[in-house]
Amino acid sequence: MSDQSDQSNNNFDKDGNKKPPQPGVSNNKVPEEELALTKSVGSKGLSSFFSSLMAILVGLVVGVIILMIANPSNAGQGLIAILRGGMTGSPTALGQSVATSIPIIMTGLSVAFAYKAGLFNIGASGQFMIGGVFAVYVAIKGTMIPDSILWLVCMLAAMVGGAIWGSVPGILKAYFKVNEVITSIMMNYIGMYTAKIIIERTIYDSRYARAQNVPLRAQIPTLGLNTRFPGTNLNISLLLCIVFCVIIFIISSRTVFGYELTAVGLNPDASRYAGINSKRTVIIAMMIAGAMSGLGAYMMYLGGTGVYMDTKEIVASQGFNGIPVALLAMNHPIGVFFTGLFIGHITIGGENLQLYGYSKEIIDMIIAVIIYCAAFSLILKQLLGRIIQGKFRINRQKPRGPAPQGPGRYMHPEETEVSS
Amino acid sequence: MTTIAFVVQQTMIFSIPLLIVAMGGMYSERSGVINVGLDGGMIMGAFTGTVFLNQMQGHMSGQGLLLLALLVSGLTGFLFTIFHAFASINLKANQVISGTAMNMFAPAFAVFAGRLLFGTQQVPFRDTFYIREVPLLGDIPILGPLLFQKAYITTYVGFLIFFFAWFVIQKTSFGLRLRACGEHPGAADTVGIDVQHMRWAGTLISGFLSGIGGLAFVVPTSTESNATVYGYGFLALAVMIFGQWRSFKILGAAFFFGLMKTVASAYSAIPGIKSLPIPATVYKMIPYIATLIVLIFMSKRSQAPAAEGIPYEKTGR
Amino acid sequence: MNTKRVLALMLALVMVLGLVAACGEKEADPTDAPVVTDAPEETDAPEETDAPEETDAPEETDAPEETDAPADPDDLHKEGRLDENGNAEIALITDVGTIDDKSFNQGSWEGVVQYAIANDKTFRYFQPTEVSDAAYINSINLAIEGGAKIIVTPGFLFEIPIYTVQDQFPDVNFILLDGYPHAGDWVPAISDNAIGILFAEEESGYLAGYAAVHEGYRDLGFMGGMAVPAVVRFGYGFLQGAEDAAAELGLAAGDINVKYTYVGNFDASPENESMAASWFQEGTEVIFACGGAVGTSVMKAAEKANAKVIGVDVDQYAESETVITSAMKNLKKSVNDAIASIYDGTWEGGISVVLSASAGYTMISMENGRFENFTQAQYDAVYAELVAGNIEIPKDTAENGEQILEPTDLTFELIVVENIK
Repeated sequence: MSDQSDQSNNNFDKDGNKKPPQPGVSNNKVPEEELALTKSVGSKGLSSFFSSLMAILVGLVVGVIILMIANPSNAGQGLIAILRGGMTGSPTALGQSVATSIPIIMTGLSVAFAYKAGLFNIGASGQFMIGGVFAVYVAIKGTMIPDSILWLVCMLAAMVGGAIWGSVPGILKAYFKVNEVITSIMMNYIGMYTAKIIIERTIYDSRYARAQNVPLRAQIPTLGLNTRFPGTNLNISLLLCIVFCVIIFIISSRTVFGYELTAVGLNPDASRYAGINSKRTVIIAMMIAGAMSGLGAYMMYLGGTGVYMDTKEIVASQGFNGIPVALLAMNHPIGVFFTGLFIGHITIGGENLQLYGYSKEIIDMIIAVIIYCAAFSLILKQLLGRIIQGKFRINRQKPRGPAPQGPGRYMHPEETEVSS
Repeated sequence: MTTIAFVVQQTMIFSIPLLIVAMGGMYSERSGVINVGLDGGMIMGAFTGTVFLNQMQGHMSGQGLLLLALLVSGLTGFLFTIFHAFASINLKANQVISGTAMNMFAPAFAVFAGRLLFGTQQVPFRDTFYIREVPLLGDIPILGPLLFQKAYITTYVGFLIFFFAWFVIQKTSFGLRLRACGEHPGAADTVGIDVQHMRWAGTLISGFLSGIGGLAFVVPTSTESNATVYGYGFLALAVMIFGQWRSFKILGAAFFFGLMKTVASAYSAIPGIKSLPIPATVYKMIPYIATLIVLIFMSKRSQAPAAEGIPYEKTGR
Repeated sequence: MNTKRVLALMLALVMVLGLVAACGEKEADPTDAPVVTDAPEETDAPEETDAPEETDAPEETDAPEETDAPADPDDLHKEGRLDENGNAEIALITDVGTIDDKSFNQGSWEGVVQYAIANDKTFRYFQPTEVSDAAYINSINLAIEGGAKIIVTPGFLFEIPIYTVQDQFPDVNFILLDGYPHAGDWVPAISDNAIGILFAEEESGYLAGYAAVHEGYRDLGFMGGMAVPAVVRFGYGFLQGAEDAAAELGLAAGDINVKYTYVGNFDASPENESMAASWFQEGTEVIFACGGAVGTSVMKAAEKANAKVIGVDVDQYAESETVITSAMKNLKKSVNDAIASIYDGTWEGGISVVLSASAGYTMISMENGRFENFTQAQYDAVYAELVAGNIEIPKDTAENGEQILEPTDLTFELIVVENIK
């Protein structure tokens, strides 16, 4: 599995530096990669990966078309700006690209984890805001807590806040069978107003109409990263992200609870017959998901990048932005880390588009198209299977070399019945 | 009396778009396709509808123009939802992903297109549609002030759509087939119903209605559209689930939401509530908390369409 | 011209549709194509004209295309002007809003446009990706990378970012509106290449309240966005203006009622419309809508209730017939003047200035006002008093520097303030 994550890393890097594909002209990189992929057919992760990559390519092609329409003369530069993203050589851009990624990686993790249990956690925003307000509250008011552990206490507070908020839809789902989508939406708004009330009553900075500044001593430790890479505001939160992605990965695929989770997700009734306490599973799943969202807020508000909790009545966008991150990663915890980085990367690329006279909304459209194409993952995987099979059929006709034992057996070509 | 009339008039502003969009969502879901892209459909509908108003207001005005604009909005939502239908029905895509993509695309597109066309992302329009009083009907005691004064034609369009939609899904064979595809697509298939076609129909109807809902949302509340509907598409989704995918329950849910929203924002004009020492933020939370509570009480069993969200695979024999 | 754009856009849409469909459509009949060579999506694209996509092309075009509205001359400058290398000397970084927010960012942008067009300079704007110090700093860096020598930043959210970068780029001039650079402790720390421009918003608010009462209104309303200093100053000035006008008119205590609130956002939401409608329903005659797009909602409610609105920041008379005047701070002039001072060598940096009526920076709109009773002569008289410093107006902070948090902490003898929280 770690093999897979390495692979994904490579692919993203490759993509990031790839030559801009021209619209309408076939991109000759793809077949090469297909060839490369055939060597390790059968790896499910890899083919999901490839289909995500295809989605990204299509998104970029659409992006080029939009760029051409807005202003044909700069389209090439625009595309380069998107692909280059935060890697412009400027440390602030790189730092900003990481800072944009971190919260959406965590909310993405939250959505992905809940999805394992068959729950659609559209309430990551509410959990995010409550987690954030808990952490910021402790950071400002926790004067009696020693410096050395304050950041940890804040982190725990954020997890607790997020978990509390996540538990509500979980409990309602488990005991009252209320659809978690509607309760999560409601909890988003309630969370937004609750956070506003807490801030205004306790830690308000009335000159800015937002929460007070987080004291330096409560900020996430940097371990010298910010001085080694000056201007980037880097701290250990990226490492924390990796740790939590791995933890979630282990929980969901290497523990009994993870197994129960999947079972409940697939069929709650059957899982009950199998002796799984599905109520408890659902609630804990939502609490863990909520804790992850809360952590995202912790990493954002205490990350030293000068993001403050404001009291505007707007539901935090980071929660919603976690949804595409999770979906693009096909709800794989490790994948979430990379898709989050990727989306952060091209978001900064979208800002850089403005250098060439484009509006930054173009990048949102590109991301939307990428997500849209990612929705066909199943079909894309099947197609891939068929493609690979085809290749092997060709191989088999060649005189030498043993015919590989049908890797196509992992796919079921007959099963799709598509008519338009 | 004037207070009650005011509250009712104000409630319409919130409820009607929610009602229209939630009914749309119902069509989609009862045919078996989850459409979380309602918000995106609303934004697209609001955008093209106001563009149409903006471009045409020099040539015509009044209710005719608004009705045409609603049609334009509806068609936009219809076309926009083709993507969703195609992905979720033909390509058997994950419907939540596809819908999320719709929601992401729409606001970005509206800003981008608005900038390209007008130079600004806001699309202003001139309001020549406000009805101070419907002739004759407005004079009816009690009912007149409640329903036929200080209104927009969208209110009546909304009710018409509601009754029509209810009738079609509940009383026609088309409706029966549609519902069958959401409950037992396999069974529907065996009796010769083309599940794919019915799902296309349900999804496109939801797109059409979400587009209309978008314009019906913007016209009574603003002087321009600004590439957002403030999450009302998600609220409509909540209304639909709250209404348990049933027409009249959705009607009730939409008005419950609308009333709560009105109380939350207009509490200072409602005697009795005004004197309570409760901060505004709490009032703003009330609609959502009340919904949660009501949901708990109504939750005995969910009436969600059994096959919603599951792509239909023809098993052949 | 407009039609052309519409067409281009629709064309784009259709192409995009085709592509996206292609991306999916290829799966429709993959069994026919066992040969695997090219990237599927691109090769498919041209021939992919499937049923659903075709239908929408004609339908979508017919909507907006039919007419050609007169093009707004301002359009030409909406996106700025670059030199042949794609650089621009003057850059504006937007705050939370956009350059077309009809309020704060727009006023500042107009100042940039005015100077740059008149003096043939290159200019443009940037929108940060999010609201955070780091994101703002990143946008500033981007602007400088793009050739900016002058950076205009509207909004106090730029105080800490400008403080951070001002010494890194000594050759770049920073014009910060509504605030001054500091390290987060409110102690001014302004380098010579930066300037902080504040406004005496309370004067504009005062004039608005004064004019409204002289015009004959007795039930007033103030709907602020959020309780940030500039909005608070507008609000308190508005109350004082109403109070003084009531005294001049010899009204009795309690004759003037003012509803006062901060709605908690700067949006044109239906909730704000509903709140304004409820105030009008209760008899409020005019609402001072003091919070960016909140004005849009209030105007809508006023149109329906046949009531009036006072706009804010820039002259909003064109937004709605209901706008009787606007409480303005002359952002355009202040930005224009500041930029001019850099080019003509009269720049005085390292300070923060409060621009007021004495130099013509705060005012209400009279030329586009829709007053029936309040006259230019009355306005000129009160304006002269204001310039002479004879009028005392409360600000967001008291003499001792303490913040005045609630309007009810102020003392008025004649007007009754209903603070709605």
